Amino acid sequence: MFEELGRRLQAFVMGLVNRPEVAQEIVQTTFERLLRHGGGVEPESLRAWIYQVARNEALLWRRKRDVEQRAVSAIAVRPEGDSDAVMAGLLRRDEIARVRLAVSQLPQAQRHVLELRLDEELTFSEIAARLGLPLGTVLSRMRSAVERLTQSLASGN
Amino acid sequence: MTPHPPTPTSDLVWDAWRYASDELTASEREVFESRLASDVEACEALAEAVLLRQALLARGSASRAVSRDAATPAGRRSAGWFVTLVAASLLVLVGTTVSRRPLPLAANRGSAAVTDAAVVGGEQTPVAGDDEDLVDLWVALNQELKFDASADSGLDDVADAFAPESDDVPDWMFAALEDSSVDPVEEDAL
Repeated sequence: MFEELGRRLQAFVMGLVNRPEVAQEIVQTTFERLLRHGGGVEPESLRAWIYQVARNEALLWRRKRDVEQRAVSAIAVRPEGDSDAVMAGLLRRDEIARVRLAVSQLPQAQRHVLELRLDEELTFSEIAARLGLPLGTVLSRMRSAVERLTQSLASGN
Repeated sequence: MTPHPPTPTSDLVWDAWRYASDELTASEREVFESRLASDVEACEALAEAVLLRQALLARGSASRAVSRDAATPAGRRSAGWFVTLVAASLLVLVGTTVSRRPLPLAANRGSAAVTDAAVVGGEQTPVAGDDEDLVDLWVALNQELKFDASADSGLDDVADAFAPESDDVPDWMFAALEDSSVDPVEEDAL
């Protein structure tokens, strides 16, 4: 149970800090706090408690980093290199296979938008221009694709 | 506490995805982050979005890696070696098959010579035997050809003797067809 929670918690923190090694540290810190101070937490509130501790730690790290780098929007810059490799450790093979299958089962229009966005890294405006579609249509297709894929990913949990 | 929360609402999924993909405006981003402070479902949705995004990127990078590998010189060399290996295997297979196939009976001059050599060798050598038989047959044939320096002309004479003078079917061929005493097993052996 805690292994799965830790995995999801690390993904959550990764979404906040976008640095896998920092996310790992924050998750460790969060569980250390759970061991020291979590005795009084009600079981039904435990998940919320853990997420809030992790979030606070992530925001604290971001504030420190922002001061150091004097770059408020630096979180938007996605680091290159081993980030994907480290994050891949969070993924299970069956998840990738499930997502791959789900992508293949998407309607062609949705799959096309998804691939242009993720694989070719086009902006939505560029996709709209290439396909000759309104921007809203492209966003709608992407949204539908993400919702379907999220369901397929969650279906195995 | 359940480790697997229910699937979040559609808007939440989309917002979380856009947050994880860095597609929100600054104000939208601020709103979403404030929501994370009090909404566990939003936290779960963000975790799901990050995992989904990573899975999709892993899928895409795996596909690109395969394409890239095929396009690199090393990949092309690997493909070339594979094609060469397959071609060599097919060649060996064809060669083995041909060497084990029975030779036709006196269909042309070469086969006539082979048949003769098998007989001249002093024993009924199966033409379609194993490799050692074929080697023996080849040695016997060479010895026979060396014995008579004019073997080629002699063989030509033999071939000419069987050559039809016209398009009519010769009588000896009808006789051969009518001869039902030929053992099919022996024929196969030849």
